[in-house]
Amino acid sequence: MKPLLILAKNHVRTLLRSRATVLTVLAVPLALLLIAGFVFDTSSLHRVRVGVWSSSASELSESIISTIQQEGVTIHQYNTQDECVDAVKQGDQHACLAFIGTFARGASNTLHLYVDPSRTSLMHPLLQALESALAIRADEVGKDLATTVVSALQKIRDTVELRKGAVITLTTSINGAGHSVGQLATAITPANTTLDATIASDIDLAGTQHTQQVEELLNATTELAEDLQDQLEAVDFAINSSTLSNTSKQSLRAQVANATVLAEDLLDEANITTSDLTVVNLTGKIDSLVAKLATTKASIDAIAAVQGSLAANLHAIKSKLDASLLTIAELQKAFNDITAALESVTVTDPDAIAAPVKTVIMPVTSETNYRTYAFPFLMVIVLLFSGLLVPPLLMISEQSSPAALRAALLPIKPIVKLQAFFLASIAILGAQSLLMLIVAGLFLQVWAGLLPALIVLLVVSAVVILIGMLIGMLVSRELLAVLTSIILGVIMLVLSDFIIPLDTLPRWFSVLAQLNPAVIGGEAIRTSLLFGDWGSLLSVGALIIVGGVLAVIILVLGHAIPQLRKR
Amino acid sequence: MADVLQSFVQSSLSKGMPQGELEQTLIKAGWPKDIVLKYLHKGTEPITPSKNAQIRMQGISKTFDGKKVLDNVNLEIVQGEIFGIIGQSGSGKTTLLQMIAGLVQPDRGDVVAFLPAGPQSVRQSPEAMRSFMGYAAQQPSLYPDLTVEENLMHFGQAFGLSERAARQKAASLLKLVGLADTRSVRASNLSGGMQKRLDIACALVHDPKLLLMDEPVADLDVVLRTHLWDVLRAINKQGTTIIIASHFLADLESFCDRIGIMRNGRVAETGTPDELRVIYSRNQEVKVELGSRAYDDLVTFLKRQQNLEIAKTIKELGTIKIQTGQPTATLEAVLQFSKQRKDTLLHLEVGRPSVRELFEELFT
Repeated sequence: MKPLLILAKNHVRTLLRSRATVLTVLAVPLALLLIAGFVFDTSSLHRVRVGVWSSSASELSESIISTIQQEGVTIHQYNTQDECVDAVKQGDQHACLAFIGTFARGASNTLHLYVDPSRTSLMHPLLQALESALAIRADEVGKDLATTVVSALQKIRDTVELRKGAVITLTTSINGAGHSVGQLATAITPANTTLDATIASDIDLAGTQHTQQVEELLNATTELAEDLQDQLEAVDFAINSSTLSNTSKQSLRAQVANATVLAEDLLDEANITTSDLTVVNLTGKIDSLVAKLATTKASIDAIAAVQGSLAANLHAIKSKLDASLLTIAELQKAFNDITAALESVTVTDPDAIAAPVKTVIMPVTSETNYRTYAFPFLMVIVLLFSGLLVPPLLMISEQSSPAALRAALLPIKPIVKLQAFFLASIAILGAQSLLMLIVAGLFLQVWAGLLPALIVLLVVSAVVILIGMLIGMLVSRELLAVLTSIILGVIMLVLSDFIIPLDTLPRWFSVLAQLNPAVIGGEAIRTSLLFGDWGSLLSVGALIIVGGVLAVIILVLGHAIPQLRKR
Repeated sequence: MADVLQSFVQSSLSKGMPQGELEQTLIKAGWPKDIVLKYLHKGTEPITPSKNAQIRMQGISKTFDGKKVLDNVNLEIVQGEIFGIIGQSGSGKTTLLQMIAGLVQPDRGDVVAFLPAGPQSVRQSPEAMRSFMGYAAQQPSLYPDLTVEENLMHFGQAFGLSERAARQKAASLLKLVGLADTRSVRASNLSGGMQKRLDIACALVHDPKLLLMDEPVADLDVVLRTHLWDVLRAINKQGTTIIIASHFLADLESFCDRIGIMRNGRVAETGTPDELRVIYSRNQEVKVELGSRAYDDLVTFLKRQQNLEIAKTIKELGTIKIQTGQPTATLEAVLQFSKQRKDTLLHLEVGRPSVRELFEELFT
């Protein structure tokens, strides 16, 4: 067997010969992972205590509290906000929820959540639980409000649609009425109802033409009478349609009725038979007709005056109708605008309005409890501290061992002795890694990720072991080496992603921390273990470079330190 | 006398007095020249290289935290010999061994190992030297959590033995050091003596040609000590050079081919035990055993006599050792005392003091 293997085997054997050491090196990591596996089965909040203060209890605040309680959080009511906050400061409560104001639906509500950031580990589950509960209630309230608004809008649209038809009907009616009024006004405009009475005197009853002249007169009179009747009907209608007082209307109607009688008489008078066309009769008839015509003319003149008044009145009505039409057109336009605006509201789902963006956290791992976080974290912790502690303790215990003198006299080069320390350490950490991975595999059921994770763990172990060896070379006292290793381990842990997300820290610090093996290793272990990502091996390339540099330093020191010690 | 000279030399040198001036001062003061020269120069003079050297140290000096631990040491260890190093605590014995092993680098000078491949500077070729030698330190150097066999197997394999060969070697060594029954016992559960034996076995696991041992028999009982010396002697007979630093001077005296005496960071003298006794002891030792064991009266009687030059008396195991510059006169006086007291003279022997006594003479 080569000296390297002999020495390494002896280091491992002497280390593991002590039961306490076996317990520390192998049983503790195993137990740690097993405990984590069983304990982190759920992320229960049953022991989380939240104090509550509400300035005035409302249905909404009670509902929020109820939802939080359903998450498993223990609620304790306080009488004042200060008491509630003090309870957080004193550690009685993990957080304090203060409902400010009335906290009613529809009001602008403010919820103060007092937390203790020093309890970092509790912050995440606490905030997660409270945010979840509050988000649910806020969604519900928002949805209610949105539903109300959407319903109102729908009602408005329906109403507008309904009224729009009425407006159109009204417009049409007014339009029609205006048209009718216009026609009526035109119709009652005094026509040329005058009859030249001289026609009758011009009839030369002696002449041969008198028959023709009489017929012309009779025809003109008949036409006049009929025309007059038509006009009188129009005037009567106009009187009814006018805005005149009832008394005026009655007076006018009486005149029209009188005129109508005259027109009928006139029509009767014009109804002269051929037998009447005798000169004797004719003269009487003509005189009578002329007299009627005169009377009718007077009546027509009176009616014409009424017609003028009525026409003016109807024109005024038409103007008003036209003005109403304009107003109605504007109203219609407004309705159209409202309809268009309502139709532009394409989202009508209250859920979509209340929560237009819904955040649904979808875990990318099969496990949703703390194991996926805890296992990589614990593995790194175990390897970090083992790697920092085992090599210096091996080296120092070898130096301080009773066998140190005999070991120093072995014909083996110092570099081989250093390699043996490394080999022994990597064997121990490799065994730890294997044990932890088996436990992790059992709990997380991520068998595909075990091999890449093992390689990552070995690389991380190698680098940390080299750091530990540096400590062992530079520090000769066991207690000091242990302290140095622990302090360095704690620093590396604090500067890792496990406690505070590095990306939230200042950039220069974040970049510096990225050199930390715990950071690179932690991320690589997580991705390789949980997702079986072989690509994570690339991310440990930086670690390999760091390890190479450390190895060179160790080789130089390994050559120099024995020389110095001999002197 | 040695005390006075030693403290004076140390004091004068530490005050910066030049060595030549100090030498003249001591001679003028009446100190014998050979003694003065030994105190001032021994161990620092260049050695004459021998053909069969195994280790040669030339002009080695080492200072730790301002204290000179080794001062211009020149020493040569010959192949196949058992070389003992004696000296007070802090005299540099362990540093000397560690320097041979390449665990400590000299500030000045070099350690050259004569390996089968040729002479090699230990500083430049520590690995070659380590394959060649075994080292058993004062404190057992073992993995406490490994079993006896695992310790041997580990070091054997680390030295290049196959698993099978290492297992076989472990079995034979465990038998050799009397730990065959404890092969599955953790090293931490062994007694101090057993750990020491296991440590020696570990030093031997790769059949080294040079064995460096720092207090190898400390913590061992007399029986085990004797057994271990026998083992080492057997190993030595196979051609392994052994360098031992020990406080068990009597054992070294009987076991070592040569002994080096270290004082103030220097190898003050090297030689066989007999040579050292001759060099360092101006007295001889009269060993007496009286039937009455009235040794206090004997000492009082002797001190009353003129010109006996009694330097020291040591009562030991029912006898008394009388170190004297006039052994003949002292013998006569002892005979006279026994005759006057009508005491039975059970044992009477004249000889040189042991190395241990010399050591005590030199350093106390």
